[in-house]
Amino acid sequence: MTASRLKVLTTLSTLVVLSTLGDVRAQSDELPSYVGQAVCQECHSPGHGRRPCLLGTIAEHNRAYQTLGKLEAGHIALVSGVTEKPEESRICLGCHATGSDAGPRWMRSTFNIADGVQCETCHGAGSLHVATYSSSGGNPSFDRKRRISRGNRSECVACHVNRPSHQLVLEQGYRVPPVHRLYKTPVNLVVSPDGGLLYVVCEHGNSLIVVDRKTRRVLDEITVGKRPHDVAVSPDGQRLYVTNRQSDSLTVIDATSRSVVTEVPVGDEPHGVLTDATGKCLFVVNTQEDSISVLDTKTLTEVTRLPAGCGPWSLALRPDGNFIYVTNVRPRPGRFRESPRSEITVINADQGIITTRFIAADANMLEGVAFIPGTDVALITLLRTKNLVPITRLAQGWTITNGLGIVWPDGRVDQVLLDAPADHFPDPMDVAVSPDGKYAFVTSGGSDQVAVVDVGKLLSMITAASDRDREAIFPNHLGTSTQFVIKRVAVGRNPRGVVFSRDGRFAYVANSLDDSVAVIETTGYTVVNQIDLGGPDEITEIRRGERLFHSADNAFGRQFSCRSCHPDGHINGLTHDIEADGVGLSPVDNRTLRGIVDTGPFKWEGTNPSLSRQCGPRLAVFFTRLHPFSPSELTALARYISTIERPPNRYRPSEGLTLAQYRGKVVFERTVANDGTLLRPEQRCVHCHHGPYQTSRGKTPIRNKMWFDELVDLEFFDLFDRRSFGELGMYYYLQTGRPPNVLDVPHLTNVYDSPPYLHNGSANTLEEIWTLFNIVDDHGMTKDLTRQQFNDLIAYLKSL
Amino acid sequence: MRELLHATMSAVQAAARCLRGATFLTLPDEFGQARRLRPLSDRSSRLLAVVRLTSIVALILLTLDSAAARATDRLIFTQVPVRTGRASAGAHADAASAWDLSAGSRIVAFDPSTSRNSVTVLTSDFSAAGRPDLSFDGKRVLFIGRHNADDPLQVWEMNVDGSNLRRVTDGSGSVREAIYLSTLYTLDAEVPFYRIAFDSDACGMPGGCLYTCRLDGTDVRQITFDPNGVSDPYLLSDSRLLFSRWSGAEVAGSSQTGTGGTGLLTVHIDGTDVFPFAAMHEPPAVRSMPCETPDGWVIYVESPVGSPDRGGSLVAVARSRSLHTRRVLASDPDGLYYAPFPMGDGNLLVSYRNTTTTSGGSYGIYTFDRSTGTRAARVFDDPRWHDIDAVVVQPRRVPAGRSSVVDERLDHGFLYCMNAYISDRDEGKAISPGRIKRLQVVRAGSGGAQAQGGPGRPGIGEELLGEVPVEADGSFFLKVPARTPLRLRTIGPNGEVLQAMRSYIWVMPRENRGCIGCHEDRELTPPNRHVQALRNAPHAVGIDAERSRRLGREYEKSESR
Repeated sequence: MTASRLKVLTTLSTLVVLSTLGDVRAQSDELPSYVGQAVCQECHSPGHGRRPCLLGTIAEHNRAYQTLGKLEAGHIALVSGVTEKPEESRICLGCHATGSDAGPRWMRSTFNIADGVQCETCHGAGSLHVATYSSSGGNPSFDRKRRISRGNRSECVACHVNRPSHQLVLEQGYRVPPVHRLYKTPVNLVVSPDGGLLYVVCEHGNSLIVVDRKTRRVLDEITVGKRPHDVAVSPDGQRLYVTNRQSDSLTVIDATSRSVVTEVPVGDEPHGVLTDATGKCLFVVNTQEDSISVLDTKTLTEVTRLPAGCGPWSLALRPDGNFIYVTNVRPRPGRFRESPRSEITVINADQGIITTRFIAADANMLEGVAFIPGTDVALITLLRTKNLVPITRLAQGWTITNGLGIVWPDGRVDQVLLDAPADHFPDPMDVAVSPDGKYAFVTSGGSDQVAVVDVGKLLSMITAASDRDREAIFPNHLGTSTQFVIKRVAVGRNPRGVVFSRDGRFAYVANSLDDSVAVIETTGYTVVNQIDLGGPDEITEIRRGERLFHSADNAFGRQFSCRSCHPDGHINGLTHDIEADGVGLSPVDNRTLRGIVDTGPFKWEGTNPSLSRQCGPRLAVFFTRLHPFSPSELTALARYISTIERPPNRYRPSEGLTLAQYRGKVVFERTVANDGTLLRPEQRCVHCHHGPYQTSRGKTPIRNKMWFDELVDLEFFDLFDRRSFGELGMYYYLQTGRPPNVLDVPHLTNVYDSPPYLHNGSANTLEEIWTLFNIVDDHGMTKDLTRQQFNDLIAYLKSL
Repeated sequence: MRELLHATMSAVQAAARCLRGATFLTLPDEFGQARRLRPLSDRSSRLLAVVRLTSIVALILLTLDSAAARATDRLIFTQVPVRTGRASAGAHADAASAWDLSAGSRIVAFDPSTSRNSVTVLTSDFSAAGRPDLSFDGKRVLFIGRHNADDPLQVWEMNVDGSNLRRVTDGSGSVREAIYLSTLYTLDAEVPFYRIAFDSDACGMPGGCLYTCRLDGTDVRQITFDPNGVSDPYLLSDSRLLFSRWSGAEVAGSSQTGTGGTGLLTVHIDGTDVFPFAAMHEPPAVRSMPCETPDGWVIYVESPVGSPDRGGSLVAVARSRSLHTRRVLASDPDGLYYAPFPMGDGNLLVSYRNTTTTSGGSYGIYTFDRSTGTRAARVFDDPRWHDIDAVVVQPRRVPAGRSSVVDERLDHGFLYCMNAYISDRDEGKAISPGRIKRLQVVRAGSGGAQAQGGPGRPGIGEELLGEVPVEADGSFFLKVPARTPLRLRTIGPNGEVLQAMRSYIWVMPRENRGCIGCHEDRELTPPNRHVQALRNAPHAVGIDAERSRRLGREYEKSESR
């Protein structure tokens, strides 16, 4: 893209933004802003004749904001996955201040957030109330009802509830040990072009560690952004680029001085990063945004943003330098109960455009990718999750199998398993191929091993195979790996990134939960050294829980870990058929673990009141099938899960909701329909979705049950095509008067990044929840909404 | 082995030092300083050299023997009396029959560090006792025994020194072997609880069945229901229970009868998911006495069918890929191996007897080097006794426990198949899509296939429970009686049997037993498809509908609490 073209684009964008802001100002007069308690008290105080607030604890409520500055608040934030400072967190401010949901844009100059919980928390933003009163000339009979909410004490429970995070810190006195901040958690690494240095990205340490490859000692540690994930080095070795998935940024480092040059913004949760062969272009995958940022390395500006698959994860440059392959961890949206199909996005590195999209059928969690030197063939790591098969056993690879994909230049993706029948290879996370192209090393995060793959044997096996063997047998056969896996090498805990030295004599593996790098000598495939990256020796309870979370030792046959379905503590985008509620019935959508400690109960049925319960007996009986976690393990695991961070919402501007989002908020909180009729409580969004997490933290009956949610006499459906599961299935329930579903009210924080939706994952998008599955307006009243109102509602939901 | 090697090297070095001093005698003087004596005469020198060499050889032998003993720490094992004057076949019979310990059999302890061929009898009050299994903490011993010759063998437990003896089981049948299990956990349990497993003929099936119970003998549950009979339970490190099952035609892979021998299968300790483990398609033989080494190999004894003594060759398979990694560790035409036990270094303790002697020999206990496939050293051998079932007294790692969906309050389970057209058998491969129309479910009656000649043959006492449709995609979903040996047959459009199972399976109460196909490649994983049968309610077959509903209601009521 030329510079002049960029200028034009920038100018146009600015004009659009400015015009929008103007629009905000113009239309915001019709929408209420927060005026602050001082303005309210001008009239509503004992000396002014208007009825003062009956609440006797105003002063205490006003002090709520101040408590966010206390030390305990920081600990509460840590154990509830809040990444921002408490004073800046929408979640914390949701109960400790007023107007945080709307944001600064919707606060008048008279409003002071430090006044904590103010009048407008209960009565709603008051600018229109004030304006109407003023325009009425102080007439006491002005139409107050239309302009202000009366306030309802029942809404107090949105905040006045027991929150596990608060109980833990305030009542039990729990404190996150200071040493917890010192862990490094190396996740990816790269060798410098001259082969002398090893650059190791440390996710928990928020740093890049420089290791002398010869002496195997740490030379330097450079602080980067929050939760760095990957590192790329420019071809001349002068620049290092580190993605920061929590900061949504890219840190640029001068390799010579080992100092940060700058940090530039990219997309939502950047993971993989790679330069092209010339070093002029940089490609960064934005995992939660399903996009790929293309940056000019000279200006460090984003040239374009390409649409990826779902959850782009890492990249590899084809040896000829012409193409870049991008793996995607989540499958493409598809038809309900279709096997996952995941994408390998192919970018023309020179032109910065996507040329094609290869498909790995029946696979998900495509993570590591590497080309075989001298060829156009790439290897990718993948899972073959059997999400359509009831989880009734684990033998025979019944639930999740782990493997490699072979991506041929024509787009064909052959798959093989790295598992053995009774000894799986859980969570293959990265792959590297030796410079001579003979061997591939694949890390298994769940079993603490590296598999040594004989590439020649692997390719020979595939090329000699029949189409049936390639398509149906190899991807599903647990015995095949013995033909090409030479050895499994035990390394350290939760190995992730792997890289070869330039001469191929050594391979380096990031043992993320040991804070070390394993050095494997590649002639005998033995670990000759563990480079200590300087993390603390002490293992905290949270760290222990993190190890349990990432280990497959607690699943039969070491088939999977918690991470197998929850990468980065998030989702795999699949629904699963769990045995407890019937085989073949009631598929359940996988839900995120980010920042959920205060959103219980858990499970879609809402039967697990705590994380300990969620990860306890039923997990063992219906998932892992081995002995349950011991009480201390369970506590550690729950502690870790509670600290899994919820990333900042990218749809939410720092200055506050956009006009459309704010209009959507009004729709979300409305109590009357467009025709003026009063909505029944259950028809209001806020009836169930309120409080800082937008959940009542309880169960609610809802008529979105479908025929596959329950075992019924299905003769009725024999008359129809059962695949049309949506309206038909719900129609059946509605017409026959069967009882509604009773489901947990899900929280809505960052709801934009966790499709599919609904308890059974039948809605691919937020829009589909209402356009396809809200036939009788039981899931909120939406049929009267105008198109704009509906779009506004969606915009608001994405901002939560 | 390393210790043994070290000891041998020490002995050789000592010998070399002695040989170097052959010319002069060197003794310490009164100040402790060495002083050289005058040279001896040639005759004296030669005499001394002979004495010295003899001493060296004796020293090496002694060192080897004691090294072997040290390598095994304290042992507990069974001694079965050798009856003199009997023919070789008789010696086979009384030597080590797993089925019935002969009178006078006893459990003894042996400490190589303090005694040589001197044992402590731990079960002196018993008419017969044997088959010791050591608890995971290395402090207690589970064994079977009887006080009077007429009593059935039952399970007992005692401390490793013989104290705190207590009876565990009190059933009507005779127990052949008992082992410690890891924990079982169910949703109605407060915490995981330890259990034991034992094989007993109380089920009335000729070959016996496996049972589990709590350590105090309560809560007895039958976990195998194969009419062919099972034996030799062994708990694998991954929580599966390995056992040996008699077969008729299945192992032979043909229609030959009564000579199937045994194959090795696994089942979870709650009785679910019985599955082939090894030797399913190999020539008929008896596979028994399995054990697992720390490096993940399962070693078992393979002996010819019909041999009264189950001693035989040592065979190994990798636990991770047991159906395809068979290799013979040791096969000795002059002797028989018996009851291997894994040691911490990966090698084995094993009983062995030389069968070329006129008496048939007696079993002694040896260390076995897996790398060379040879017996390394004799640990203990008393020719008056068959010394078998040796265990090393030391703690061992507790295998993984099991969490189970099984609910004993129910009387049914479920059986679903993803695609009946998936098969690795010739007749299965030949079935064209759409040809399978129905499925027959057959229940085995009383009596065993082993005695009767195999499943499906006259006399087995089978009953057709029902016939249900198979979906177009080859899937089916059944609700069947739990704890019942079942066989399935696929039926073609003209009512012909297309394929029939040759052995029995069962489901446990509330188990959802899933199959990929009809005798598919056992290393195949299921295709990720939502099959048609699972969109409907299961077809009930052989279920007492009223009783099932009542139990179901009671179950749901208790669940809702």
